Amino acid sequence: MVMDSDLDLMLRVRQGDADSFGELLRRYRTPLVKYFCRLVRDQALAEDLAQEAFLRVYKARHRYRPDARFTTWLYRIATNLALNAIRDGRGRQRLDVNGSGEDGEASFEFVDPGISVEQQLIETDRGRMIREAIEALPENQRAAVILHKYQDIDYRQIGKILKVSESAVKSLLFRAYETLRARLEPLVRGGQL
Amino acid sequence: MKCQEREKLFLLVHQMLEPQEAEAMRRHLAGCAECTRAAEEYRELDTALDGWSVAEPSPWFDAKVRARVASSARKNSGFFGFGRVRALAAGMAAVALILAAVVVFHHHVVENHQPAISQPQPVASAAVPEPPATTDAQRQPLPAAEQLKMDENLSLLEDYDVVSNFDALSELPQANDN
Repeated sequence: MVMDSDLDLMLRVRQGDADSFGELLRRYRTPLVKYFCRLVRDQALAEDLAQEAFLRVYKARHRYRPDARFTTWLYRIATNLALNAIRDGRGRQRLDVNGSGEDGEASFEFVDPGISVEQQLIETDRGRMIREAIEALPENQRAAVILHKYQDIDYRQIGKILKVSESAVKSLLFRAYETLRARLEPLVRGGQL
Repeated sequence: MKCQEREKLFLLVHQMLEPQEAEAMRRHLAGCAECTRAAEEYRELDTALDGWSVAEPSPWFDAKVRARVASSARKNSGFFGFGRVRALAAGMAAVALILAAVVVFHHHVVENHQPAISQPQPVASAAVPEPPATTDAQRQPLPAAEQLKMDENLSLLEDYDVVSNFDALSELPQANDN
């Protein structure tokens, strides 16, 4: 069976097809919630923002232009929501999922419960290091890295999402990865803590 | 290694170089141990970043989205659909009611104020007319007969002051209703 493209689904959503909206929801709920989780660091807020993003897609369905990729549109909405939440100070709370970090703050990293406790501790520490390194990046670099690395979005599309040129995206990503390379040296050299 | 070369190396590893530039960079890599090591570091960093996992959406995520969409749709149908006509009619009726209340109130206020404005001076001041402007001739001493008459009426004038000042009466203790 040939899967409907996002574009086809979105065009049907414009005509009021609830099933097509449901299919888009099924396809993008996980990537979107994870995207928000990494940007705002709070699971409840991430889910709330992801719901808001889908609601905005629904509300703005008549303004959707078929010449733009659905994911570009979706992630642009999502990025605006996330950056606004961070600027409002709503993205600073942490959710205690796996105990406390070194600094006594609850950590947010999620680890596979199927692995050993020792491995879980290593994974949590590794995750915390990565998170802190990425969070320390400037806003645009952070969004670019998360879109590129974790959402698997092409740099051309990242440019459209962040409303910057392709060369600016390349430069953003290079500077971000250079910073991360320096900060995460213990992880990079030897691959273990 | 120059920064620009390093950026090209990064772009090569992440497949962001144009084909011609990528080919030239690959040729350079084949003969440069330093750049080959740097490229390997970028790959290791990319692998290391995989270590940051986050939670999946909660099981009730879809239900919450659908509820919010349904709520929004209900509000919109109330505004954009038939409900809009009713909302506009109700709004217009409310505006008309407010306007009518303002007009009635204004009319009432004008009616209450008009007689007070047209009335002459208060009674008390009417009883004591302003003395006519005196001239130098009038300031001459009165004849003795007129002076005597005025002295006789002096007590009456004093009484008039008391009678005209009703505020003084208000200071008397109030009569007990019981």
